[in-house]
Parts: sequence; structure tokens; C-alpha cells
Amino acid sequence: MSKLLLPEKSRVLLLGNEAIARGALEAGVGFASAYPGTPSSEIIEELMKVAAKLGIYVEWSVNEKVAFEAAYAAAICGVRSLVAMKHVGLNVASDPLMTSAYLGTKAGFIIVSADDPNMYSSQNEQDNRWYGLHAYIPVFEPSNVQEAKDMTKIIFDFSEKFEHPVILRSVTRLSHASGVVIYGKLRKPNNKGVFVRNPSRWVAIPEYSRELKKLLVRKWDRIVDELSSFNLNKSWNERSEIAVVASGIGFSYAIEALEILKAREKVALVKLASSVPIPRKWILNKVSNARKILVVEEGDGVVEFQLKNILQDEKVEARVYGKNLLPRYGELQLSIVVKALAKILNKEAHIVHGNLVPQVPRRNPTLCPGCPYRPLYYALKIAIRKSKVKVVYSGDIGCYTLGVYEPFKVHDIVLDMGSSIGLANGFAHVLEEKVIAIIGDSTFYHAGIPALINAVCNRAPILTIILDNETTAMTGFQPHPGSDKPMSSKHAYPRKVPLENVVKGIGVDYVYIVDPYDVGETVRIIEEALKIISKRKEPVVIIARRPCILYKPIAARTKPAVLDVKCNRCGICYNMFACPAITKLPSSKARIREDLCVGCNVCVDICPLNAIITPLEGKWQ
Amino acid sequence: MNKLNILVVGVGGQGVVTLARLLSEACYECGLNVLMSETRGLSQRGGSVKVFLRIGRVYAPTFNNADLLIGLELLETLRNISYVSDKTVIVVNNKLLSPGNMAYTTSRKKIIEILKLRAKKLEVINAEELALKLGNVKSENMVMLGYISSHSMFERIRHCIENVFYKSKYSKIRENVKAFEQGKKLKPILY
Repeated sequence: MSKLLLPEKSRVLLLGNEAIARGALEAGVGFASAYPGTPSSEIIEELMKVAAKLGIYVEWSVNEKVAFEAAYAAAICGVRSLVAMKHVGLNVASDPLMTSAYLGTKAGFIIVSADDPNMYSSQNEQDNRWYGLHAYIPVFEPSNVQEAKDMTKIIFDFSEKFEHPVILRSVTRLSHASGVVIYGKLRKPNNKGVFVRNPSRWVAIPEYSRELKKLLVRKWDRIVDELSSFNLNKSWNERSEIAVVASGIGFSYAIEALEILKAREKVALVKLASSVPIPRKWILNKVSNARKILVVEEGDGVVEFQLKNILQDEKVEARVYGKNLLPRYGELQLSIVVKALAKILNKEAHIVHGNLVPQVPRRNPTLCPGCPYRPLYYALKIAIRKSKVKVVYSGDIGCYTLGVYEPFKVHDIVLDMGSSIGLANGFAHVLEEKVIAIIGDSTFYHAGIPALINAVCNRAPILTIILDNETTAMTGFQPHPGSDKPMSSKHAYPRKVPLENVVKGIGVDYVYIVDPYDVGETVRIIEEALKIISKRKEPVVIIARRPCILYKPIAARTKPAVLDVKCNRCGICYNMFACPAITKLPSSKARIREDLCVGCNVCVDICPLNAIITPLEGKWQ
Repeated sequence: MNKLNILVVGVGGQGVVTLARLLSEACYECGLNVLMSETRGLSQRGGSVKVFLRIGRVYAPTFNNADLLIGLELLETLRNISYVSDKTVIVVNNKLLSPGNMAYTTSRKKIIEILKLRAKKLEVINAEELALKLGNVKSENMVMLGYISSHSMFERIRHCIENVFYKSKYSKIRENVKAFEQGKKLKPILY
């Protein structure tokens, strides 16, 4: 049995994302959707595992906008719903987000935004609490794994009470932290709803929206008042002259920093679980004696900004510290919070200073041994050299972004999901160079399709290479519309939407499908595609198809070996192909590392001297 | 064991997170409060991996000073020396994996010298060598787990590490069981 289904009062070691999933089940969630993205993916992954058993509907959607809209529709029909995404995913879903506040909801509707401060696996570290202020949607932030579960459950009720969407903001250090959680009771889910026709509420045309906006600002004021009695907001020693206001994971740093400085008794500690909007009356009451206030929060100064506003309005003369003492980028750290606190307490911070880090070379993540993207990039570089053309590579987001590093260096720009083709639409019309867009399969379905349509109808001469490895590899092998796994909990088999059908349907006349393990054929096709683009000035698509080596490992195959007498130290295999499973010996000859080699045998093909061979094991194969 | 900060480091693919997770489950099973923090996604593909594991009355998901640093690889252990003070015990696998670029020339001996100088105690373990001898280098993390389970620091939770390992799917692989068992008996190399 999944640990998510253990009975009430169980004590379980859970990942933050699993705790959010359990909280949703305790609230009786009936519909959940997401597009995968680190650090949010495990929420839907875990719900997917228990969906059939509980009779709830869970799906991987094609992108965050659709995931949002699907879950939102279920919620306005009375089914408690949750949509999860990484922070940048909410940009994709920001269109429905903004107007969902006008329309409101019926059943509880939670948008989980998992932010990634310090960008462990993201292109930026935007703080999505701003979206709350921007859209008039309350934002709640748990401070630890237990609270992640409790809060998810409680804010379903809050959302339902105000018929309003709410955002649950997590961060990497919560979503991917494990801690002990004590379970509450599971609630029986409701998965069927009713849509009540009411155009002046659900149809956002100008006439109705003007009225809805008036209702929205009034609702917002009621929400501000209601949050004054939100019981996950807590405070200690309110009468002190020095106060610490901390939200979300910032609270966990703040309380430990106070303990380290032995200052718990001297300082008013205010824990904000509802960071947008700040409950006005409540916070004024808690910091009324304070002369100095330190705001501890991860990300931008969203609480600090609101607090300064309130204090200014009410003519409270307290000095507010926050991002002037704490970092404006990256993550919070215990030592930094201790230092900031010590400063406003006029205390010496006894920080044990760690050792200076000696010069250690970077260890960049790299394409795995056997990854189909390596031979593809290798073939691409050869084809470009042979074609004698200058190229701008418009890259995209996925494992293949690692092509930016040595030796391939094939991404000249990466901006956002789907931007490879989007940007190429501009490059192609203003540059002399050939423009090559490189995009993954899941990313293409997510946001590449409109950009390719644009390229076709505006005749943008772009070579688009779609890297089809049958899965969303980087986030942990979630299915996409071209995968052989179903996308939802309702079906046992997939209803595939093959890439080639999409591309041909859009109107691309020249579509090639190639296996990147066949390096020679891949080179030939890229050369041919470039010639067609020069001649016809219209987009051409190459689908490079071969499953991710981690997703579908090669069944036991013979691993190649280097014939020492034939190897002439040219370095093509370890410098230009750069498979991690091929090492350079002190003699500069190559050797296959058996512990890393997965037996793809592509290196056998690329060695110009046939010095790498696949040994026959004394029998005909 | 009032409060203990453990940092587990290594290279993506070595089983750093697996090792940390088994250790955290063992602590949990012995009734201790645990808080573990890891990173996933892009950071996994052969890059540097770092997991924070905290035991006892703790709140923050990360820390700046480690009581114990478990290194599955020497260079990654050196990279994280800012977490090491004269109160830190380092347990490190005697393994050096050069990153893709070959510019780095510091030897194994030199790294070990630096680590020894900075830490309270350095214990270098031939985990890679033992795992290779047993037939699969991938079980080196289980050699480390075995060694740690027999360490005096973990005397109170030794039986829980044992339980958690044998309940886990990793104990279904023969090399892992041998690695775990023989890891217990390994003696650190003296420098």
C-alpha cells in the first residue's frame, strides 16, 4: 500500500511534496493535474499512484495553462481540485490565473507553485508570491513538512469559504525536504460535479468583468480581515521591542537562529503562514511595541514590502530590516540569518567560520553514457562543418540543454519553454546565419507547436530538430502525448499523438525521422535539410527518435573495447564525442570504463580507425 | 545524540541520495527526529550532489557546519570543506573521479592531507576497492553505509540501520549485501 494511504495518526517520513499530496487527500481532493517541473513533480506522481484506488482523477497535462484550466473547471463544478507546477510554469498559466480571481471558484481550488531559489534546476528564481498581489489571490507558505500537509488541507476550506482560488507556495528546501509527518483523517473524495449556468459570473466579457472586479476588491478586503484569525499564523512574546517576522521556510531559519543566539525570550517572533495578503490588524497588534523589525523570507521582500506599506499607513515608527541584511538572491542560510539577527540585537554572532574553499574544478552535470542526444549533437557538429555554414543554435529546456557545455556548445540562447522555435522565428528574418532550433519532445508539445505554426505560415527558414526520447526525462520520466504510457489515471493505455502527425498536420512539407544512434545517416539528413532550407526558404523538421537510456535501458548487450594496438590517440572518442564512459589513459589512448558503459556501441561507429570493437563472445550472434 | 548535522556528498550516479535516505530512515525508525534536504532534476546528471541530513531538535533545512561529512568521492569532499571545522569527522571513500576537464592535477594524497589538517578526524575507507572486488562498483555506497553502521557515532541506532537496509530493495542485490556486511568490518586507512 502507498504510504499516502496509511490511517490517521500514522507517523511517516515524507518528502514535502508527498506531504502536500497527503494533505490534498485529507481534504478530499477529486481532481489533480500538472505539467512536470522540478521541484514540483512528486505531488502529482504520488497522487497518480493512489488515484485508481480512491476513484479520483489525476492527469499529466500538456502544459501548465491547460493543467490550470482543467483543474479550475473541475473546481467550479464543485470538485475539490489541485494544480501543481514549478514557479516558471505559473507564467505559462498566468492568463487563466489572473481572471480566475474575478470569476472565483465553487469547490476548493489550490494552485501549488514550487519555487526554486538558487536555481538548482531552473532558468530563473522568480518569487511567485508577487503573483498573489498581482492577481488578488491569497498565498500561503508552509514552514516545514508537517505544516505542508496541514496547510494544504486547511486552505481547501479557506478557498471554498471565499469561493476563491488560493496559491500554496513551496520552495526546493520544502518540496525536496523529508521530515516526520503525523497524519490526519482521509476524507472521501467527490469526483463528480455540476455546472450551474450563470453567464454574469462565468463569462468574462467587459460588461460582466467590470462588476466582477468590484466584487473582487471587496472580497479581497474580507480576506484580509479573515486572515487575522488564520490559525497557522502564530506569535510569541508580542510585547518585545525587537520583532522578527518570518514567513514560510524563513520561519524555520529564524526560530533556529534565535535559539542559537539564545534570544527566544527577548524577541517577538511572528510566524506568517499567509504571506499575501498580510492580515493587517493582526500584524499591527503583534509588532505594536517593536522598534526594530527583521523580516525573514526566502526570495524577494514580498512580506517586507507589504509590512512597510502597512506601517507607513498607520504611522508606526519602527525600523524594518529585511533584504538590506539578508541576501537578495539565492537561498537563505542559517549563518546569514544568525548574523542579521545578531546585528539588530547588537550581539556578537559566534559563527564558526568554515574553511575557505580551495580551487576545485567544476563538475558540471553531463549527458549520460548512452544518451541519444550525444550522437545527435556529434552528428550535428559534423554536418555543420561539412556544410560550411554559419549557424545560430536556438536552444530549449530539458536534459539536452547540457549541450551548452563542452565539447558541443550547441545552445547559443535558452530563454523559456518552447522559445527555441519562437526565437528562431525572429532570428530567421534578421540574420544571415542558418538558424537551428533544438527542442525536446515534451517541450515541443508544451509550447513549441504554436511557434512552429507561426514559422510555417510566415515562411521562416528554420531547421527544427525535435529530440524525441519518448519521455519527460529531466523531471523523472513523466509521460507526454507521444509516450507509450497513459497521461491520466483513468486509462491503462495511451492515446498517442505522434510528433510526425502534428508536424505534418501543421503543414511542414519536409519532415525527417532519424535514429541518432545511426550517426552517418543523421549527418546525411541534417546536410540535406540545410540544403532544402537554402533552396525553398521554409521550415524543415527533423525528429531524432530514440528512447532515453535511463527510461528504457538497453537489454544486456556486449560492451565495446578499445584495441590498444589500433588506437592512435586521436582523442575523437573522449574529446569530441566525450562519452563519460570513455577515459583518456596516461598514454593518451582511450579506454572504455566498464562500470559506466551501457553498451550503446555508438563509439564503435565514430572511431575512424575501427579501434573500438564489439567483441563477439566466441559464437555467432 | 542531541543534535547532529550530517552532510553527504558525491557525484551524481554514485548513490549519494540513496545512502542519505537509508540513514535518515534508520534514524527515524529509532525514534529520532530527522530532517533531510536534497536537490533533484538537472543537478543529478553526473554533477556534484549534496544532501543535508539533520537529526534531533532542528528546524532549518540546511546548515553551515557539519558534525559528520560523508564523502563518496574525494574531490567532492574537498569542494565542501567550508562545512568542515575542527569539530567535524570526515568519513570518505578513497576514490578520485576527475571531472571532464583534465586541468586539475591535485593528487589523492594532497586532498587527503588538506582534509586531515582541517577536520577533527579523517577516516579514509577503501569502499570503491572493496565494491570492485565484490563485482560491482555501484555498491560502494553500501560499503559506506555498512562502515557507518559500525561507527561509534551510530552505536545507538546500529540495529535500525541494519533493519532499514535489510528491508530495502537494495538488499535484494547480492553484491549490496556483501558490500554492507564487509563494509562493517573495514578499517580506515591510516595516514
